[in-house]
Amino acid sequence: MSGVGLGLLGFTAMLLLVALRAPVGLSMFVVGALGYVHLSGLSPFLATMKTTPYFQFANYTISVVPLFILMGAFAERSGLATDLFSAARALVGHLRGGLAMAVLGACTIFGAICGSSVATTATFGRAALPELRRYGYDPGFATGTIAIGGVVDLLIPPSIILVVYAIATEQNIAKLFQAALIPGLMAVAFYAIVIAIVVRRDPTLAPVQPRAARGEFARLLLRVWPFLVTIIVVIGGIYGGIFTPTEAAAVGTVAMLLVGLLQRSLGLTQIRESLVQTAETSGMIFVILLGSEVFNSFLALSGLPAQGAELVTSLGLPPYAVVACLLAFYVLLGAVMDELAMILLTLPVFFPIVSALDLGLTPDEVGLWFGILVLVVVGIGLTAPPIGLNVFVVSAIAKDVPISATYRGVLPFIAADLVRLALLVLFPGVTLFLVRLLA
Amino acid sequence: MPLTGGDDASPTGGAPAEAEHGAPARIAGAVAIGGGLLSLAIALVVVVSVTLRSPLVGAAGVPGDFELVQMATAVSIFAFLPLTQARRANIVVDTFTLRLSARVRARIDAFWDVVYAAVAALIATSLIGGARDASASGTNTMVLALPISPAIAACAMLAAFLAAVAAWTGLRVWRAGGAA
Repeated sequence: MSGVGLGLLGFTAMLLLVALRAPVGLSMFVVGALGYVHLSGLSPFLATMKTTPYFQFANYTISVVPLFILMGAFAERSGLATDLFSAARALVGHLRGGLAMAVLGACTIFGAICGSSVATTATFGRAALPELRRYGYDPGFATGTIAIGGVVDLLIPPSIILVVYAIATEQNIAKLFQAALIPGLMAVAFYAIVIAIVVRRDPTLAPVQPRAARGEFARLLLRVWPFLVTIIVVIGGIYGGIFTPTEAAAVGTVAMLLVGLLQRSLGLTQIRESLVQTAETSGMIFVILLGSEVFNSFLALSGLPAQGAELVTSLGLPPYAVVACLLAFYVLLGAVMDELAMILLTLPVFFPIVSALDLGLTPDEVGLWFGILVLVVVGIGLTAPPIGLNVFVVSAIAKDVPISATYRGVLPFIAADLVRLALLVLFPGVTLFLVRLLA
Repeated sequence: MPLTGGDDASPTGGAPAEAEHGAPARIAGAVAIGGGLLSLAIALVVVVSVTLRSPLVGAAGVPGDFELVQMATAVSIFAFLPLTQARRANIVVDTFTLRLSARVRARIDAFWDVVYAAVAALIATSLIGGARDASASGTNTMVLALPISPAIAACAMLAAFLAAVAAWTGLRVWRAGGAA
């Protein structure tokens, strides 16, 4: 069998194992190892295994993953979400749909500290959802807004998924964070417009609540300012090239710990919980990263990625049509599997294809632009039926709201996502604007 | 939930108390906290280094901070893996097996846990070989000239523990047979 044939067979076998409930990282490892042994022999494989598992993780860049997760875990447990939501509510809560807008605003700022969409959804599900319900918000609209708030977190840097993309495609994390900002803020603006339209069409969804007491906003600002300063230092430091992402994550982690200790919101229990959460979430990511390393070595040996890219180029398809097809495929795949796994499963084959397309951009720019597009698609996958992880998370918290109501609640937002995706595909300059400006 | 195979896995990490049942799970929890503290130590070293290098202080950073971060990151990650397995939090796609009975699904999960144990055992033995090689050749880090073999050996030990935890979860899932 030719190398490419074997590569295709391996890919199919791996997907089959995944469908048979094998953990995704394990499937990639097992199939990758068997393929590698078949192509190169057992001794070379055993020789690489002596060092690969260590050196893959003894990596300065990779340390940002646990650090950003730990930073978010500290912030989550220090009650930041509640304070941010209350502050945003004091500002806009009296408008129609104001509480939903407040969720959006608070998630935007929270997203600049926390890199996990699911964690944000869970946090705001506890911090904001009871308030929305208390003021008579329509259940599905309320849960839908919370699920979408988690998507905002995904797009606002730092984002763990984006870091994983950077590691998998060897892109510059700082530049990816720069590229993510405008599309992320666009998402916030689009979602705010959706809220405004939805509550205008059906005012019963979001009853107006009284204006907050005078001085309430100032009081809350006094509580959250250390977090805001940390965000400016972390994100600003990365954008300005003052910090490497690892340095920024380290500074942010230590700052969150100190603020939590000084404000007495982090005790030993919360610190312990944060460490355990970091271990569990990081472990989940690293098992897949290790598996993908072995699987990618096998794929590279088989020649499948290179030949696939060559084939797509030789067909002479319009480059944007190819990108559109890949994104459509991601939307479909995201409907049946976890987004992180989906990215690591497909990038070894898709990324060389995209890189080979003539899109009128430099190779680096293509990598950044495609990364942001993938991120937007992941956001859709996190909320769209039939799976939508964020919807599950919010449903687990709001057990009295039928999941179908939440799906109805997120639909208008998904429509906005599709519009934004189309704009970002058609105008790469929007994504690349900040990168080019700061270069 | 399609995100994980875990009956007790929670996306926010606040796992219920029953997740901690059994000595392997408790040890995995302690090891993971050790790994987390190591991550925190990495953060502190980097912060000290950044502070020293800042224009305010103007000194050189912590010598070899880069190498310390690398070594500690590898060890901390291997310390995380047993907990992830003990809580069965690894990403599993269960969209296509929802129609199978709980019992059959439990059998399948137990099988993959055993495969995972075998893979972890392979990694552990390979890394022991790697640590021996590094020790024999005297491979040291560039700046601090620290030998890397102890770090590789530590990862090997943690991988061996991961193998034990995976075998244990496999046995537990098999016995429970989907009743849990």
